[in-house]
Amino acid sequence: MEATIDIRTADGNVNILLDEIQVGKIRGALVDLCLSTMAVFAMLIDAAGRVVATGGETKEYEVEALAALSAADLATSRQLASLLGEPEFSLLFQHEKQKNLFMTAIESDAILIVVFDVDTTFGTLRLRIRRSISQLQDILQQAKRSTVIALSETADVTRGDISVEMAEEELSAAALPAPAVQAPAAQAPAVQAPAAADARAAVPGSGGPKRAVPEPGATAAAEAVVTAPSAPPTPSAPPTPSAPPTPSAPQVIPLPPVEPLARPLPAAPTPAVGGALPPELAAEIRKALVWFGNFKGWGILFSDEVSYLKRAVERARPDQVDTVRVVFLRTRARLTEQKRLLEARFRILQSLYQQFVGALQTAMKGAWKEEIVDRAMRAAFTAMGSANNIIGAGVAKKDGSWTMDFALIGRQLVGVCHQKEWTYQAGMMEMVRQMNSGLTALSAFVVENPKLREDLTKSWARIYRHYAEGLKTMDLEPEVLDLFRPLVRSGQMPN
Amino acid sequence: MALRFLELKSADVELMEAELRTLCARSGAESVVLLDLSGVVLASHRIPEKMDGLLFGALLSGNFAATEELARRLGVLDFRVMYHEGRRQNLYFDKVTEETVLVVLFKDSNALGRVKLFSEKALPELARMVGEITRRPETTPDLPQARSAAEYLARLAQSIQPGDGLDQV
Repeated sequence: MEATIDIRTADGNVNILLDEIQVGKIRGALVDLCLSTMAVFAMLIDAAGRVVATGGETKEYEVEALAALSAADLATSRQLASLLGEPEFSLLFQHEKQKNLFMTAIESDAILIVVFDVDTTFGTLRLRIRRSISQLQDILQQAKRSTVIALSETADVTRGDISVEMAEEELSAAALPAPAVQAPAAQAPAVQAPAAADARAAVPGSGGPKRAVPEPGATAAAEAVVTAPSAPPTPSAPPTPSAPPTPSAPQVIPLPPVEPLARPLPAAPTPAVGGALPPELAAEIRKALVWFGNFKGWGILFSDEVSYLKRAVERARPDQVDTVRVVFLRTRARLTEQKRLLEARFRILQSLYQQFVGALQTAMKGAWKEEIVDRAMRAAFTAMGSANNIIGAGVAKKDGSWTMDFALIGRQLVGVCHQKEWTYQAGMMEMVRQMNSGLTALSAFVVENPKLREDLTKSWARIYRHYAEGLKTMDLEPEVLDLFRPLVRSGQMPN
Repeated sequence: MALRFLELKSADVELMEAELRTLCARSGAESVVLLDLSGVVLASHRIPEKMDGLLFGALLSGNFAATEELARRLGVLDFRVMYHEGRRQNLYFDKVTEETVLVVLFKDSNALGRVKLFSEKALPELARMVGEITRRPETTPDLPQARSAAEYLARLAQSIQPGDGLDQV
């Protein structure tokens, strides 16, 4: 029950109860919002000023303090709005060079806060945020409905003339989340295998650029090929790949704790230490935990799940085994999904950037001496100088021409993420940022015509933007390249 | 930060209101208010009549102060601009000096750029006026000495000079 989160009204009364699936969905929506707008972080809080879920890089900030202040701020905004006859105000404060904040009420008691910096424009945010708001509203309304059901059921339980023992039984039965939600994990691990094998087979830097593919996800998978998430599903996994997760209403029981009993409770809350999980499940989970420890980028992304599983391995009660299994399987399925997404993105970026760099280089070669080309390339990519230089490792001169070795870049990405404790998504963002600044510098060097330069810079920016939308970049590729090819063909690049 | 009450004379208010009137006309705003951070309305143009000016001022400044604290938590030290977007009306806040805030109420949210532009143009002049008032030495009126309340009031009435604002109370 500890994963259950409630949304409270300003006076502290519980209004909506969210189970962990719904919280997960909310978190997913927030992360998507951050990715698509390049925001620093987004969070959902309730009117009482408590954090419900966060997405993005919240490490540097005291989110609890921010949440409390924001709730207070929105309360005064509401008063102001009512004075002006407005239903609601959304707030934005701006500071051109530092952080900006956007805050809007989603439901009457849920508030969405997005913090963004110079990378995001308010227009983009306003555009993208609508989709996220409707997503979040859907989730919350669903939760509201299930809360009403749960509360009415509780009311039935408490209203009747039921003895303490019966109430206890009800409670312990309800504490078992309904095992309706196992399915999506069933076929998950199988998909990982070919990618991992691929990554192993690829020889960094050899042959055509398309061959050397290992990207962070795959590299990670290659190194961890024996460990948990790519292992076969547990034999005890429920075989039915059944319906979408139903809002499991009865599991949320907002009863006050039944502590003040005169006699001691039966044997319920004191479990045998570590012994409750079936050994094979416990072994699987331990393997997974080790894997998450090795690949911190994923460990951070799934931090809640990891800490839950850690606790489960140590002290799960026998009646919680099903829940633990469901959480484990779902984590694995989500991990696989995220990995595949990341791999696909990396692959797209790889092919795009390789062509850009190739073309720029060709253009430069026609115009300048090799030495100058070398200096430009080095200045743009290798000598970026910062500790988290991801692409510098992969851009090198081989056999007289500069190449981008994405196997090395992928490895560097994993390393930097590990060192900086970033998620791989954040690492990819940083990589794209570095790549774009390099390309912009390079095109400024190569193209003297300001109009052409502007077009080029725009096209980098477009990749940057569309990267966030993940696979959509695939559709965009020809369009971006079309912009580029005529420039090369017409020979007007180096003026 | 220790706030001190600004001592306004009617001429000051007139000057500031003239500036606000210009701003309001140029930016196409509904109304414009210049506030003290403690919630006192220093000058305003076209505050809706049905609205309680005191309450409005207090809420505006309270809201601004809360957001300023929020900004500080995010690491923004020189917080200045804030914007509220509603269905029909919008509010634009801009800090004039450390103690005063300019608030523009406008209807068309597309006009934010215009409001921002003209507010920023009006800011230096407003800041200069407020600065002048702040720098002016505080004057404590010489209260008349008297033996009875009636005498005191009579002397006080005599001491009021036309034009220093008190005659309009």
